[in-house]
Amino acid sequence: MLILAALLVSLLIPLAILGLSFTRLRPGWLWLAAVIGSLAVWLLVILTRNQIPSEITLFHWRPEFWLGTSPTLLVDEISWLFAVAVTTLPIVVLLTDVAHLAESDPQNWASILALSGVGLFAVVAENPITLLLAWGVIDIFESLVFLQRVQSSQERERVVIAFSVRVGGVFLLMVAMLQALANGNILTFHLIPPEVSGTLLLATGARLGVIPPHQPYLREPSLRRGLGTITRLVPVAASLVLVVRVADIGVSNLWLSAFMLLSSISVIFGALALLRAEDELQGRPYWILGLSAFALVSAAQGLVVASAAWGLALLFSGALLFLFSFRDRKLLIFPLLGATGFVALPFTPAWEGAAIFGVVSWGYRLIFSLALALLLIGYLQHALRSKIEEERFERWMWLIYPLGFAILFLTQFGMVYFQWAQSGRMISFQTPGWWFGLLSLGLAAIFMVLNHRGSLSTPAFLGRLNKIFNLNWLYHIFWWIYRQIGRLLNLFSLLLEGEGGVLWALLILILLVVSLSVFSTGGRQL
Amino acid sequence: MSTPLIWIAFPGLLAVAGFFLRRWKRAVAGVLSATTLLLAMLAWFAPIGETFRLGPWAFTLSDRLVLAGRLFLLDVSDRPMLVTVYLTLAFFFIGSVTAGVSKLFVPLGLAMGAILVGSLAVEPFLYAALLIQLAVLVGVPLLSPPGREVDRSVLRYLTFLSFGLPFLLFSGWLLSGLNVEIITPSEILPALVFLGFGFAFLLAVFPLNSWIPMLTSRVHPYAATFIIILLSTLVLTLLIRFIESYPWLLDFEIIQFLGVLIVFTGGLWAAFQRDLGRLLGYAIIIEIGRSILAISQPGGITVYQAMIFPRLLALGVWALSLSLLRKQTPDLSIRNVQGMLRYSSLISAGAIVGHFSLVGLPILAGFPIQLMFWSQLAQASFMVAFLTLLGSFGLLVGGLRSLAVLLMGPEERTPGVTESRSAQVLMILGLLAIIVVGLFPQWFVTLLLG
Repeated sequence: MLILAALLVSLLIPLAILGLSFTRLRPGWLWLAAVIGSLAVWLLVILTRNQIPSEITLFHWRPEFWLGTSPTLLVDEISWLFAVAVTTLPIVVLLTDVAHLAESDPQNWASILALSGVGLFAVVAENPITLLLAWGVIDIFESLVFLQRVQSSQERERVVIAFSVRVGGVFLLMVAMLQALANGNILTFHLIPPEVSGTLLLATGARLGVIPPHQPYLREPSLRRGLGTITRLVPVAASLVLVVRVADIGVSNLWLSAFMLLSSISVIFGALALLRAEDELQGRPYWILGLSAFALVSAAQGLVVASAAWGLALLFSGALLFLFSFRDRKLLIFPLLGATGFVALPFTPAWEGAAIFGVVSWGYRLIFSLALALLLIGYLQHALRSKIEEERFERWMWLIYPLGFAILFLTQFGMVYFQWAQSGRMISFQTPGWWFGLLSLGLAAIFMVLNHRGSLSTPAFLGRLNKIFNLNWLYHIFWWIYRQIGRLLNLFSLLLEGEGGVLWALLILILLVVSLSVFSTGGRQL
Repeated sequence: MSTPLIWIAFPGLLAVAGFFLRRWKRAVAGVLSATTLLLAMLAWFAPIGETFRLGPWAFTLSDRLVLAGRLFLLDVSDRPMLVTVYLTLAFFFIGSVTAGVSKLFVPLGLAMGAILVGSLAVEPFLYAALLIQLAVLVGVPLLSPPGREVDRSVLRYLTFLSFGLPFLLFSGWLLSGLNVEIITPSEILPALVFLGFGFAFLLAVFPLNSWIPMLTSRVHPYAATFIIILLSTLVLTLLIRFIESYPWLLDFEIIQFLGVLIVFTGGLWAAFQRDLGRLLGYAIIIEIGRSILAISQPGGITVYQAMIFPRLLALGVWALSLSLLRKQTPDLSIRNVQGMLRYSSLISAGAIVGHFSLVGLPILAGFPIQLMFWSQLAQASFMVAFLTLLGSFGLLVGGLRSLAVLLMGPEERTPGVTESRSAQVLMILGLLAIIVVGLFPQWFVTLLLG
């Protein structure tokens, strides 16, 4: 029941803030209410750990005979991890928002809390119907937020393209449901039938931008840092939870080859693009692309814990990078801690993620090691850039601002260590291929030292590689094919709707009937 | 008192009165909207074929009426059909003034509804064909108001639907010579082949469907949508009756094949449309295909009935949006509607949400029902379900293109288009209804299906 309370609070608080924002109440009080509300939700979610596993049906859809399931919540080992993650994000965003008090906007805070609430609903989904509803709300919310901010026609087109790819994921999830039904199963996330795992991973891959590898926006829309980060990370969490659930089953060999290949392209493209991005905000989608690819290949290989480790690293380390705007020397410890969150070295939160290096072939090991090194360089390059936002930082802010990052860091480490302590992980030390994390760190260090000495300029071939791996050339070919089919169909429509259209229609009908009778009788009577 | 008097003769007379009073467009629309809504509610609750007491008086609501030697029968089994027809009429009449249709729309629409109900009630079947043809003819001035040049799309509508008439008449004549009790499939086959062709014309089976996108793009989209929905609903009810009479028809799988063909080709064409009106037409075609597919499945009539209300809601909102957009642009081609979502947000949102609801996107009215429909198909055959899903995907592509077009356009264009208060109210109500039905389908499914 605690999860229900958390959901209720996370949806009521934004409404209250929105309502109160029209009164004369000072924004400071609204900010405080938002922080207290988000802390309450966070605590409630942490406490649900004691009730694992629990399942709650929200309302019964009729007729159940056809649909098989109704919107239901499930709190288990997997969903709890992501539930904690999505409820931590708004706290950190609100606390670090003190660095931008001049731009304080209660509507933004309400949006942050509301989206996080829907994200919570998504990660605790017990079945595809529940997840589809959450995805639907998230997609609409995200598109509306972006559309309000973008100005040019080209940018709006990109928003629609991003929305389209997400909807593609929705459709694939529906296909997976039907596949399961065709085999006599009702798809729930308790037990995923093996025959649908590939389709499910494809659905999440499409939503994460990994399959097919694509670049969702030309430029990041000019969103506020906090809202922008939530709008980027919550939808990702809503998909990653399904990736981790699929990891329990893995995928067949045919699917595995395809996923490995496409994820490799994505991870290299993401890492290169993050490195070349203007700043950390422009690099947001590429960071997500890169780390998602790690989570996805781990899931395809059937590595549940590794997949979860990469997913959580994406959310926690990513949030730290994107929210770290006040670059004071005293605070540089936080991005360094953020980097330890995904390096996959022993005793760091993504340690379990290193398992992926132990199961793939040497070629893929090298690709993923190199990609991890590039991601690390990109991360540190953006985090340590000496760009200081010109904000007036008052004394009390020195307490609040770092507190946000401390909560983020402590939650990630605390959660992972707690899991390890429960499973005895610290003692066993068995992750195969853990030293690939070390290799990535070494590669990153060499690159950074060379770069620092000035003996390594960003080579032009990186740009060319980027052009190859972003697959835009492939999408142009598809677009050309689409237009040609459109022309053909339009010609056909012109025939049917022209002066002789009735005769053409009758002729086609006769041909259709004759063909049908030939097929149905095997041509015996003709 | 008899049911044919209440649901055929009374609305027929009201339609005639409405025709003569058409000068007072708003008043006629208001009164007839309320009346049709009442008739729908009455159809829901009326004790058909039973005796009921009203104070000291006892009434029997007879289910039959004999007129000029012909029997008109509307019994308890017709209740869902009556509710559907009068709900459709009320739904479209309420938005008619805002949509800006001609003043003939409401009276002739009601007349059409009454005639079509008559076609289902009349026995023998031979006369049903004649009544359907009469309804088709009544639809002509509704699509092409007097005084204006008749558009080619209206002629095409008349041609294709009239082609169906001889087939229905001929099959009716063949059926009248057969004894249904002792009939064998081989004896009835010729009649059914003719009947199949009749239905193919009336239900716009590919390639006989070109008139639908023509109509929705070239004449008033609201009137066109109304006529197509009304006609297809009645013809589908007729089809259901035939399937109930001859259940072995489903063994041939031809009905299922036709459904898949309609949905798939409709989706394919929808993905490449460059006119929002035509897109609406293809969406209607896909809906007809889905209905045929649902009916073709064992126990699928329940699914078909559950599909009616969300579809009506989505198509109504969409058609109203396009009608309002059409007032602001020369036509609905993507060249002319570019950027409308930024200047006429609510109206454009209606078009997009209505469209996506028909696709079956989550949180919208169509979602639970499409899911139910696809589940039903998947349990029968995954390939059929997959092809149907592909058809829906085509419709989705069309919707995404519409969204892109409505959002794009020149930046310098200044906002200036105002939406009338009634349009705003209807749109908000429509959009809210689509979302509420999408989130809580159990409320209306339980209500409609008992």
